[in-house]
Amino acid sequence: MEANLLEMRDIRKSFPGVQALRGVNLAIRAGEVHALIGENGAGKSTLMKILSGVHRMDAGEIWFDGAQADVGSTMEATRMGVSVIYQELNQLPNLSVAENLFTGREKRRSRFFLDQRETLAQAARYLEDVGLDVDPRTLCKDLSIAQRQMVEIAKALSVNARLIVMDEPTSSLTDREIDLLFGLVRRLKAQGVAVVFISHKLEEIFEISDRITVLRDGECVGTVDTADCTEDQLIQMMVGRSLTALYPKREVPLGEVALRVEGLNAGPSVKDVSFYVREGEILGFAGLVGAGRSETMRAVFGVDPMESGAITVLGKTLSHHSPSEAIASGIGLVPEDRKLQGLILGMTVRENTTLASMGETLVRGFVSRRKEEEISAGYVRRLDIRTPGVEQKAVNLSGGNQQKVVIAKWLATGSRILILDSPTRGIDVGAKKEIHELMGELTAQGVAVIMVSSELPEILGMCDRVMVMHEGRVRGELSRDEATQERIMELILTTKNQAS
Amino acid sequence: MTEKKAAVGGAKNWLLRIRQASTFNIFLILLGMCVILALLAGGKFLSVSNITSVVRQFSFYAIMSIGMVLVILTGGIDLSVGSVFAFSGIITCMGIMRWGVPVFPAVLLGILAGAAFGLLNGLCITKLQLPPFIATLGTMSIARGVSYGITGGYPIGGLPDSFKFIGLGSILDVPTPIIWMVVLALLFSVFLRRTIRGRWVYAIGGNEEAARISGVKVNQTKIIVYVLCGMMAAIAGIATAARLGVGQSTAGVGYEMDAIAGVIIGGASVSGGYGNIIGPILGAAIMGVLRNGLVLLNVSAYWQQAVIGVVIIVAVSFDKLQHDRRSSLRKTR
Amino acid sequence: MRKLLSLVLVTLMVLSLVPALAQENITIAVVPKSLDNAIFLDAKTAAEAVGKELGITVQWEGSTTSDAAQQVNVIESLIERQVDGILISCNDADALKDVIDRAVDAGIQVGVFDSDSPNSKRAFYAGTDNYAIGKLSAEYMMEYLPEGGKVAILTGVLGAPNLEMRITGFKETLAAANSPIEVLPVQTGQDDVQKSVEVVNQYTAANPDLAGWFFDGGWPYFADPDAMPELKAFMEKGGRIVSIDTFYPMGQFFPLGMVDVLIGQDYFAMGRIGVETLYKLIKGEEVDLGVSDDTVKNYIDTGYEVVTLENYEEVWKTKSPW
Repeated sequence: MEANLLEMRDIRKSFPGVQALRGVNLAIRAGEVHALIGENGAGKSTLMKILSGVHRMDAGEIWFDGAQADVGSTMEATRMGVSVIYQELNQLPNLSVAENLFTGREKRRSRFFLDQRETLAQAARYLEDVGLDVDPRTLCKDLSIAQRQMVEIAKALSVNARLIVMDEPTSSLTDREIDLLFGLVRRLKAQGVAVVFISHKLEEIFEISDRITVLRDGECVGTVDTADCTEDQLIQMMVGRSLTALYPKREVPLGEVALRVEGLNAGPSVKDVSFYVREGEILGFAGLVGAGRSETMRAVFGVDPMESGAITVLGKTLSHHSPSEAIASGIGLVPEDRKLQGLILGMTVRENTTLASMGETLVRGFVSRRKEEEISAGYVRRLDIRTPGVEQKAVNLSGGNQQKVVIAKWLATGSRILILDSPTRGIDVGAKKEIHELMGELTAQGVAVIMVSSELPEILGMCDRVMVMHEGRVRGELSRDEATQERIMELILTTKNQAS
Repeated sequence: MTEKKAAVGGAKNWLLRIRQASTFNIFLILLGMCVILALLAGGKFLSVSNITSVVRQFSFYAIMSIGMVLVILTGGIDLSVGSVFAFSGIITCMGIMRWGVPVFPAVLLGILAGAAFGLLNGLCITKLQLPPFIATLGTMSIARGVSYGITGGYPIGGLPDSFKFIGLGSILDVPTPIIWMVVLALLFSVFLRRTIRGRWVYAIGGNEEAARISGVKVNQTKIIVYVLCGMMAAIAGIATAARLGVGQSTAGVGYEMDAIAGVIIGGASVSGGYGNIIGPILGAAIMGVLRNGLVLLNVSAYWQQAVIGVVIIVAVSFDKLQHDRRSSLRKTR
Repeated sequence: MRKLLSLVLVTLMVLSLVPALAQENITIAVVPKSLDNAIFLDAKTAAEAVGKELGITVQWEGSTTSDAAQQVNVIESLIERQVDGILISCNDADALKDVIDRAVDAGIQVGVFDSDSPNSKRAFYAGTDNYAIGKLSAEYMMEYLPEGGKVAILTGVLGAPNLEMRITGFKETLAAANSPIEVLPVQTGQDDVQKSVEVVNQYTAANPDLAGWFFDGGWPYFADPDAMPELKAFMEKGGRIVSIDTFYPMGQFFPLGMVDVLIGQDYFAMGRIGVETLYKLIKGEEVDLGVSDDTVKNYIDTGYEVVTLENYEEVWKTKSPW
């Protein structure tokens, strides 16, 4: 049995009204890749914030390298040898890579003057260590997200980190970039550095980790060797029940054409796009990131201007081309980025839920708070939105619950056509399944659903029909029976001529 | 039985809501200042005539701040209010003295003039896509320039008593400007809390893109907000002209900063989406009480500015600290 | 197209010369601190009247706000237009020095009124001795309050040289005479009528033992008398007020007993003397450029007027209503 590099014992932490951690144990060995998984809100982030000195624990012990540690600040955590690479990289975009590497502990020639040469030389060394081939003078904003992540890892190495926490490092990376990252993780491992890897993507966890610890509701469900467990077991551990079918597709008889788009042109990334969707149908939009799918949806909804084309909703052609008209005609759009486009984070669950259907909240011409509370509380129950109450601000909810609030907003308007753009991205398995079930429920009520997704299994699992887009054009249309991962990738990558 | 229970719950709720209200701290600051002044200046501060004078004085700023908070809630800013303040006062006074317009229509004319400048601001910001800072900086200069132009720089005095009543009179011993302030505050409070348009104002400031996607008529709402802000500046300007019995093109120079300061001290977020009507009134009250206190305590003018600056920073940081503490408590994990 | 454009331009230029040609070819531009400031209106009236008498063109030019940089631009355009003389009231002595020197180098006669730029090449400065009117105010105050008492001072924008000189003259004179008058800390209305009125009202109410007010500028008197009940009560109780400025709207306060004495800068004199002196310089005639000493060269004292209830009706007859 190898010695543990880090042991966290019986960690407890509560925030007013919530017991975030109820006695969690975590042991990390030197040189292992340890995955930490759990639904959003299970306590992963809180645990890591205690380790990195952002939060103080209420009770418990932290042992690092055989000695008990008191992590009072992020500086102390760094000194101890713990570095965290957050999802939102906190770099200074207008400074160079080298400057970012040494922010806060700049190389100096004397008390006041920076040592430029030494900074560059050292930076180059650390960049080589992580295998990042860029000039240290490059500005951070000119790097890709993957490259910026590498810079963060180089920074961790430069402070002699012995344990690196990566918080969902792959969420915005391409497949190739993920391969590069995993190569680097393996090299770190070989050097004896321990890596804690937080992710929702189970395939990745199986690929890279040695052991897995599962958290649920602030408790440690267990730690398993990756080699000894299956995906189903993990999911069961995470949600506390087994998810029978991953994609709960309901069979629903299709109705009339609800939305028809013909010859839509809007900007450089939407060219001559035509499609339709029927009542009770789920129409998928597959393609690579940047294929023009989100842009198409925005143009249909009237957010972005369209140059030409016709949009017909339930037999009526839209003319004003504005979101209010789209909403009035029965369309709802759950946009790609729920934080930037879907929600008003500073507003409450109540206010977000009723925002698009304020007319329903009027009593004698004035907004009735009671009516708003009724409406929003109804959706909180129906969609099982986990929140202390409707007066909670959206910013304080987990990703899955935020997404449910966005969906609630459109259900409240009585949308007959719901466009879901990447509805389950960055959402934990449980909430993802709930959203999928909800899609089924809606189609059963005759709602037409359009889903844009970059996860092919999701598209294949949920959709009745799939439109494949590439470079702003529709490359093909596949029925549920025809659609396979191979067929879709084939349409995207090999078909140069127009498919009909 | 159940009704009674609900009523008790409602009262409790109400108390809790007051304590949690974002403006509660600001109210505490104001109260603290009043207690300190009462201790230091005694009867001088607490006398009915002094309190009346202070409230009347800050009510003009408060009215402007109410307009300003609407704009700031949408994430905008209006630098033109000081100039519109002067322009509207002049239009009304000229209407009465030069063009023979009766008092009431002349007042409406002045408010309309303020609304026109608000409309110009709103159109520049939404149709020409100018940043609010730039657009209103421009109209600030235009309104001031037109004021000089039409008056030649001369003040307009000799106004009739019926007009002066608007700023100088009192109803049941309450000075009229205070009544205007209270009425307008109530109206705008209802507007913000109980109308769809009011909710949209918050939504635009909270996240304009998300608001647009939720069907909020962003441009239309912004235009309305700037028009309302211009109208409030006009009302304050007309009331001031009535109070001083003279319309002057030099009135209100730098008042935009007083209006903005009232909003900020009142706890609204400069980036929009957060704030209410009572905040700027309390903010203006803090400034008014502070100025009054410095006068009562015989502080030399040369030091007053510095003291005002210190108090603003202390007040805003106290409020911000309390606010941060509360929101970090509310955040669960 | 271009031909047409140049034709239009030439026509415009010729047309713009016409008035100058018609009137003996001499143009004097008078530049106040800003166009919005009503206190310059007397100077404008006087300057334009003198222009008519002499048969020259007097142009009233300026920036819309009191801003030195804008004033520099105005002067630059005047140099460009080759006027013969410039009479200016400087927003900032140093900021305007360079552009005044450039105007002089370009052959333009430059005189300063109201507010000087002493280190520039300007030919003369016609203005009020602010220390002297502060001194005179103190003398009136001592006469009104022989037993002494508390006197408050209301000023405008803090740090303005003319206002500071008046306060210094006022205080030093009281001190030199060993007057029993106690001067309270200075209060400000920031050059704003409303703020001045509020400060005066509140301060008067808060200090029941106040015996006198010295306003170093006439801001409160631009408001309606009804706006200052506290001041009226103060005067009825035997309070005394000495105020600087003698602008038209201030006259109404004499019959109401709300002011004892007004001491005014003579803007008529500044405008008249300024333009006359410039005219003589341009024509190359003999001219009196005032006195010079260590602190100032070529200073023409335009004097001041003193108005009390006794002579107010007479003086006000000479003023044009605003």
